[in-house]
Amino acid sequence: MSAGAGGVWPHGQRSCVSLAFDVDGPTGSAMVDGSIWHMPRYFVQGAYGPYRAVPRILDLLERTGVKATFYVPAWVVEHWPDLCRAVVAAGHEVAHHGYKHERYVDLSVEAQEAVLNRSQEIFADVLGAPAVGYRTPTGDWHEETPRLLAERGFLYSSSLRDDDRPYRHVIGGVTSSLVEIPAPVELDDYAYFAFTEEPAFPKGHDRVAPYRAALSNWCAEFDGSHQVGGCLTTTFHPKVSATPGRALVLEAFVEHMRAARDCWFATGSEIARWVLGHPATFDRPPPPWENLTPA
Amino acid sequence: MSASPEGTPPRWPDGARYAVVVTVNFDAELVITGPEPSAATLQKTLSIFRYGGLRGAPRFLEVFADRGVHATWFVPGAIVREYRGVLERVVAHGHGLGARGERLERFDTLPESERLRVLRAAHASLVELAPPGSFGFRLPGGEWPPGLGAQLLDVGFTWSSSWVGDDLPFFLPAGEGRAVVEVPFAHVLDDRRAFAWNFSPPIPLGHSRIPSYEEVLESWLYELEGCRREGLCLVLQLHPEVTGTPGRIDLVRRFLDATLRDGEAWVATGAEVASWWAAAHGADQPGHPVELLRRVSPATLW
Repeated sequence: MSAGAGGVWPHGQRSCVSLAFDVDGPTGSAMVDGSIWHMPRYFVQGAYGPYRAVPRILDLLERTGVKATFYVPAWVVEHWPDLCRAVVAAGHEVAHHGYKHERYVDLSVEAQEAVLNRSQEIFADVLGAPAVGYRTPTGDWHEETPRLLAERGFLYSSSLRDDDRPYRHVIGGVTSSLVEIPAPVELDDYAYFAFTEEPAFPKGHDRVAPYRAALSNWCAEFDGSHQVGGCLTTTFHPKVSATPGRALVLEAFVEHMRAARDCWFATGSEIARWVLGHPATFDRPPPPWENLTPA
Repeated sequence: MSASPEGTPPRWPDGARYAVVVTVNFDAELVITGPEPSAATLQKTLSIFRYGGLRGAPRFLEVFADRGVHATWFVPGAIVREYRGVLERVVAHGHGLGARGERLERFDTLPESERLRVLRAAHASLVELAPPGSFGFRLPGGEWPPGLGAQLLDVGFTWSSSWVGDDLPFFLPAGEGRAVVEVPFAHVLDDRRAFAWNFSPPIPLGHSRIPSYEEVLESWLYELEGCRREGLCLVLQLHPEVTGTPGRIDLVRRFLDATLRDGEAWVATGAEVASWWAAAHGADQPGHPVELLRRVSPATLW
């Protein structure tokens, strides 16, 4: 592939989108601390994701011809193996998202290694290959996490929020071959739609955002990214944003992006390989101060 | 969808494409005094909920009757007694009934014997209004404690609408091979989550603003359209003090009109849906989250 007219994305495409879903299912802090085993309603609410919502998303992706990336805790891969194999068989990518959705910043280096190694074994057993992509579950990663990922041959992470385009992580002062695909919180459906009774989420039981308002924001984020030739990725949780009604919102969002025509829809590893193949293009430019003229 | 492979029962009766269950939680002032009995002095706050019995409930009855809709009213036992006149009219209009405990108790913190006493008292209060056999149950709050399903069946409840996490009814284990039919809801289709507001105690907990009525209705209509497309079961939760006001009742009218427009919806009570589902479908497909949870949970849940 050769870079397009903008010099950044393949085939002359103006911008890039990595449509991505975090299939947490019932994993998360309540499973990590074991309290979920006394919360059957909460478990079933989480399990809605792999059980009902992921099949709905696969239908949507097939209809629209988009390949997506699914960040899936290995516990979910273990308990919904056929579903995860179907995701891969449809041409999508399944990537690492913890074993039980652990918060990496809370884990020692040894504990992070244990989570990564165990999850990679499950991926290899169930899906035939370990993951090459990583998205940090529930908040922050540990300062040593990027090094652990690079050591294990991960190609990319989609965890941080600090640029409009992918870049290569600097680890120990050296530019590494671990690519970051930044994921803006404005395209995280938790900020719009997630709601649980107990434990209360949002903490103040804030209202669910109106569907049309969320759709409008997401389209504005795409339009802006497309304008600057950026790379947009989403943090959509099937259990949150693929209810029967919200799946229609997702469909409208995908159709809005596809209408742009010159947008490259790619999986995380396709983007990472493109970035690694064109390293100079993706060196992070400094802020464009010299282009700014005071009034 | 009404179409189904030959030899399997249709998902819904009489060629209906999808199912819609309109439920009313008539909790009245127990929303406040149930969890906190000392709040009985908060007259302004309590009056919000008394409004529901005085103005909201009759307004609902009128709108439902105009459209021929039979809803399902979940009522705590104490409210059945306090608002007897309202509930008699609810029954006379042909609506279904369900329990919310005696005083919106949290069943996950009650001792098992006390749970049984509360369920019996709640059931007895409904029997004063209508013949038993079709009463449902909606958990007022908290988790589903082990053994609750068996207790519900033992007392005479046959179905529940207490869970989120599916778009179709499913079965909750209730001991000895029995099951409670669950008709699950979604938080986004609850008018209280959308609109209810009180200064102190704070509702909602973080005092978020009252949103645009039109935008909330539009979100509900998205869910209705998604349900229609896939032939699912939608459960709407209304509260007389919330959408039974002159300014919001039109949201109820317009949602029901959208539901009734194409003649493809089976608008039924919770008992009708539960009884159809048990007879037509009998058991969950393998791999249902309830079955998975039974398989993997180290705790005794049922």
